[in-house]
Amino acid sequence: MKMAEVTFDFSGKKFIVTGASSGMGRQITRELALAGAEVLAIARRLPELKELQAEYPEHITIASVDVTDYNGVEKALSAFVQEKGKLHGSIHAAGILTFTPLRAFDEIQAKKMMDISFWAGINLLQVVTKKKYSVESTSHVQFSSVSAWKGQKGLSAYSATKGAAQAGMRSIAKEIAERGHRVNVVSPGWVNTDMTRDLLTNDTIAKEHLLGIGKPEDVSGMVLFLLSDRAQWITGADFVVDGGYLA
Amino acid sequence: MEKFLQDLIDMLDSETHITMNSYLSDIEEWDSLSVISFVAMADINYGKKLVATDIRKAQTVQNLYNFIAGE
Repeated sequence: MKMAEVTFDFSGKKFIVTGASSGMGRQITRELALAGAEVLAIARRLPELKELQAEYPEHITIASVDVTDYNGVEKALSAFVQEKGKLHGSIHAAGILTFTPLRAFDEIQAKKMMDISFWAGINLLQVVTKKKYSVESTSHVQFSSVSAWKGQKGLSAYSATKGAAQAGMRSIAKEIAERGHRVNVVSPGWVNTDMTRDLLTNDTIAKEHLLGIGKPEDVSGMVLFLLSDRAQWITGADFVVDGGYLA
Repeated sequence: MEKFLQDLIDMLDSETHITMNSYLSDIEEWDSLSVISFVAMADINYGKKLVATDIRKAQTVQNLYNFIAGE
């Protein structure tokens, strides 16, 4: 890997990452571990989690939990905090992308996207900002998307989910600021992950990215920055990292 | 097969006479959105996880049916 110009030091810090088995969540978990953090990596798929843990066994703890299983998430978090100490932040990267075109709209799929991306994100923040689980000043990042800003055919429910993340986090930022907690939203352009691969075969979308289609590591730097103390005066904001897609 | 044809016609909201041998290029309503809609419809009605890239290669209605039938 090319030596980075900007590096972070999260030694002794603890974070929880959802959606850690693939894409953005996996990349963030790796980079946090590389920067010395202790990470609780949560996802449904255990084999992928085990592979990730094998890369940094001393820094990554894994738990095979569905983020919509609220009790399961809190149980895993409680065990992690008991063993490693209180959290310094969270990253909610869990999400799915399903096409919901009007001609073949499926409410169940639409609600599932909302459950995983939005409601589970709210639950995560509710749990991780509890005094028993977090230090006094924490930073949290949730994922929105450029689709909250610009429409694409077939993505009405996905876009609404991502719009909800932005609106919701602005309110929560106000609720938790007094207690020293921050929350921000990152809106990536279309990044080549398992989740978006099908969409990215659409040539128009690829061409609309002035800098080409992104990779998870093109976005993770912003996330690590927001988690760090260099971002201590930043909360309730949205950060677009999109290779020029919205330009 | 009849159910599949009816599902396809409903999804396309088409008044064209469509048979298994119809060429997609002859169906006015078959456009880029149809590909995405077909992927969604296959999942909802048939529990089939299809990939848009593959669907774009289909030339006939029979080709589409083969994706659903898993052939």
